[in-house]
Amino acid sequence: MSGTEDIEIADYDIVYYNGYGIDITIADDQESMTIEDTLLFPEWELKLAIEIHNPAEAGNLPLYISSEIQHNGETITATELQVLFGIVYTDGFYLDPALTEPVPDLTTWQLLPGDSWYKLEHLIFDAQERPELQDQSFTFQVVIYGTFVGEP
Amino acid sequence: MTNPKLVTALLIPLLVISMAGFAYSHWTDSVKKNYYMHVGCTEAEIKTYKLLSPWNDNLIDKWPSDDELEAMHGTTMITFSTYIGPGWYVWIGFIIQNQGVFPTRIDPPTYQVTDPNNIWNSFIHKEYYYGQIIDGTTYGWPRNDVPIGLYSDVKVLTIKQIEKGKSLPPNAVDPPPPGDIQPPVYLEPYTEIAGSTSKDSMIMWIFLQLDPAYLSEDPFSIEISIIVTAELAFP
Repeated sequence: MSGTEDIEIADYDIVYYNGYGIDITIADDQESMTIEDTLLFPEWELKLAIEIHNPAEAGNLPLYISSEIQHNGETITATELQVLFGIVYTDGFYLDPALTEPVPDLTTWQLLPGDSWYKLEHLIFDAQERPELQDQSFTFQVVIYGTFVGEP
Repeated sequence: MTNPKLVTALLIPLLVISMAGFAYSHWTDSVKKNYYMHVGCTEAEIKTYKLLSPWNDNLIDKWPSDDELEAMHGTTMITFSTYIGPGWYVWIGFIIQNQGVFPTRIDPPTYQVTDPNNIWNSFIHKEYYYGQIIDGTTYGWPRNDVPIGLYSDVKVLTIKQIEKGKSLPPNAVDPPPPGDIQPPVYLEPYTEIAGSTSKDSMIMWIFLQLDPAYLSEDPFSIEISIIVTAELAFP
């Protein structure tokens, strides 16, 4: 079978934010987005939803969706992210933009061409006991994969 | 001599592995979210300070000097050195301002002392705080509105003045000024709207004395650093 795997970041929505200012941009090719906040403080919190879209184009394939956190190109766990930077990270995939219907099972459900799923990420800067993080900068990435492995 | 069958046997798994890698990359697409974060920090700093001692203040070396402090736009630590003996004391006054965007609380300061003989154990220190408490119900001031009666007018007589029977000028205030509060002191974030700034400043006075009962025949030198302790605060 020939076809194309193609997912894109179609949109985003700030569900909750208690910070002083955040810059969010989606690249023109919709392959990446940046989230920048330069004034984190203890109990800083962000709930950010993004729309993952599988375009309804000829040849596009149904895709299994998965994600991982990376730092310096290496995969890290949410626990490691918290140890490194004090960020408590949780996430989930949803079928609807209201974020009421979780994707039942990422290992069996596929994102079909023409459809969108919604990924909610909840970040809390839990650093009340981490004064060494003051005035520090850090980056990390969340990579979302769309993979074709055949019909379910 | 090389065995062609062995070479073939080695090449087959290599080809399979490279094809598998190609296949995986070919059948996967990804998008990436890049998070760029910077953690803010407290910016509450000593904007001005003074040491008042009955002994000749010129004998007290202090860092930073007034000019240095102005050039630094503030500091969180001051250091002074002098010769002391039993009963020696000094009053140290501070105006502390929050120059950052976060609300901040000021906790009791910490001290560092050149202390080869555990001299610090023989020191008496007491801190007095003036400003706004954490619940925001009391007073605080913009930097330029700090009451002079709590800082500028606070004076002590020198030993020579005492010996001559002089008294403080009528407007002078003995330390500590009345109206101190319990720490932590709450400082609003620095903001300036139409020339009016927030209640971002406070005053702290410290009384520091070497126990009069301390056994020492001769005056000795000592260096003491005082560090302001600030934390982010969200009332």
